[in-house]
Amino acid sequence: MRLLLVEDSVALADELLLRLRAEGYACDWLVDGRDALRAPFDESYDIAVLDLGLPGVNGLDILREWRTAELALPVLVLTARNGWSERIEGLEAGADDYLGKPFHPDELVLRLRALIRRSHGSEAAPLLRVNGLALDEARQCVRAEDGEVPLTGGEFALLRYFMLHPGRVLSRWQLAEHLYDLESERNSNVIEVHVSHLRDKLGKDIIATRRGQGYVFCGLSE
Amino acid sequence: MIPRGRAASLKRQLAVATAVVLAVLGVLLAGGASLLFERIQGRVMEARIDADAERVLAAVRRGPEAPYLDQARLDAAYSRPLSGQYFVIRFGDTQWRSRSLWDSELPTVAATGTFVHAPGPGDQQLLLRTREFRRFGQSFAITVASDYGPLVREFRRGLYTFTILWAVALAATLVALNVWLGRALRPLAVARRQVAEIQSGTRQNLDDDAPLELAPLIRQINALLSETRHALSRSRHAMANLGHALKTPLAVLYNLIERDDIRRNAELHGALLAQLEQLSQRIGRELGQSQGGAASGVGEPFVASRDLPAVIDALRRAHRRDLAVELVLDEDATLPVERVDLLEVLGNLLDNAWKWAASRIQVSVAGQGAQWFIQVDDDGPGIADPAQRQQALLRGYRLDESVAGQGLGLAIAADIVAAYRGDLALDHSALGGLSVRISLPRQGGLAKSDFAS
Repeated sequence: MRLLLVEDSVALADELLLRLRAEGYACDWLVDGRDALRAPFDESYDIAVLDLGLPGVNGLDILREWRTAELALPVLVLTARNGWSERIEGLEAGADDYLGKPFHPDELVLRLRALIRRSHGSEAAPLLRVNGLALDEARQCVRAEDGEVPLTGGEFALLRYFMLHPGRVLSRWQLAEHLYDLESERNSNVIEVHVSHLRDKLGKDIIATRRGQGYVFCGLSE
Repeated sequence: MIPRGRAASLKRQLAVATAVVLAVLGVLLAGGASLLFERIQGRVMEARIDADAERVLAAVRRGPEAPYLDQARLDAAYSRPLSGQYFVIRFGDTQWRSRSLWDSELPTVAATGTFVHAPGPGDQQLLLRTREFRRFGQSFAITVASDYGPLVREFRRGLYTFTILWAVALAATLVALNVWLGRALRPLAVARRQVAEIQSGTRQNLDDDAPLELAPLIRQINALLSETRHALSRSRHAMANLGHALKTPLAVLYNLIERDDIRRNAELHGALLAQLEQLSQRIGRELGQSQGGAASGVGEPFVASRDLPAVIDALRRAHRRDLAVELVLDEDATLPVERVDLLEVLGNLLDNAWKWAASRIQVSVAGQGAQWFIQVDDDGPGIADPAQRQQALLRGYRLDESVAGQGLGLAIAADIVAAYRGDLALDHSALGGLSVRISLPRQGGLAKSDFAS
């Protein structure tokens, strides 16, 4: 999951990036509103966390501009201004969710998870269940009948992306774009390695390879 | 409002002053006229009596033996009985009386040459004078009397008519004064109604097309209003800025204490978290209160038909739970509460209802008498224990800890309602869940004017 964080408090951004990366998000962080205006058009983000009090361009204006350009990116507004009149203004500007500061980091993680699920049309259940597979996003493992299958961070992020796009052909390039931020080195071999590990842990047929095209998540189709 | 009985009334003062001036003027006029009349009437009568005496004297003719009275030369009035014109002529032992005297006597007059008032026959008031004349070598004493009663009665009738006309004029003046004053004071009544509208939030300024005398006051009031608005908005902003400035560092702290090295020390983590919760709840509460002007009546009012759907839309999007929301609104319900404040109240209440409701929420806004009633009902579990309902309104008490959010919603709503001298109560709802009932005074309102009578 590729996440765009627009936040002008360095201290808060540092903490959030730490937590969000641990949650398997590939995060890019911007401080200036003017940069944020263009960012989602240049990169493929799955979700954005947007502060409203930004230098350069106000967060609400950024949001309005994005929506005017018919950008469907799910946006969670993160702001100190969380009175109801402001909240209504934010939602009317096109925010999908609105979280007031201060907030507990767990709350943010939960909201982001729910928002991503909603944007992919899944329901807000504790476990992400697709094609017979149950992913526990909180503990980053797969729940099986005979217990848990632990996953590494990379495996978890990849599996989650697969499970949110079941049945769709995903190219390596596409996967890399959504799983790694601008700072990481995009090596498609890493994806290959993760796919192989996932097959080892969950079964060979869980991810099919389409030669020349990429991968398709099939799940445990009995 | 000042009780009308004791209040100094401009109208009454002016009416009393006008009545006194007109009454005094009337009395003076009537008195002056009487005095003048008496003097003129006296002179006229005296002149007439003198002239009459000389005419009577002219009727005394020399006869072959003795003087005689030539009746043909006498005025006819002397022949008509009790006509009011009388004479008596004495010379030597002889006395001639006018026939008009009939069988009455003229009062005998001691001194000659002086005018004397005396009662005459009937109710007549006579002025009489006796004068000595020498004619044909004899001395004639001629007494002539004339009744001045008719003149006096005529004057009295005139005075009476004058008094009645004067009283009518006075009453008409008072009525006219009342009407004019009412008209002149009408701009004050208009201004008063506009102030009430400002208080109730349906108006921002007074109209400044007032009469010349009132315009400076209106301008002054408008200046005061705009100054108050600015001061209020300044202090509100200062408060909000402080609160908001504290929120980001707080958010950083919330994240910091989740770091592994602090998490490992559960006691420290718990203590830090508790303090952070206290800080952020306190800030949330104070910001909730400082949001609006708390009944200052200088902001944008809450228009139920416009603002409520916006809140519900926001909640629908935020919660993404399909709930049936029923709105029961008075038509054109515009509440004298700042929009920001009532949005905060209803946002918090509806957010709470949304978290708990099973399938439906009902919101009603109705004006009744001097109050606005707002009610939010849900079909959730509600709060069965009345003591717990009280608790839910207490500062910082977290009743809905299991659900995301600060758990302050009800308390913040109650704070804001209290700032508007309203009342917020929790009850059991007919829908099965919690019912939040708010009553707000229609303070200001469009109260009836005291100026126009």
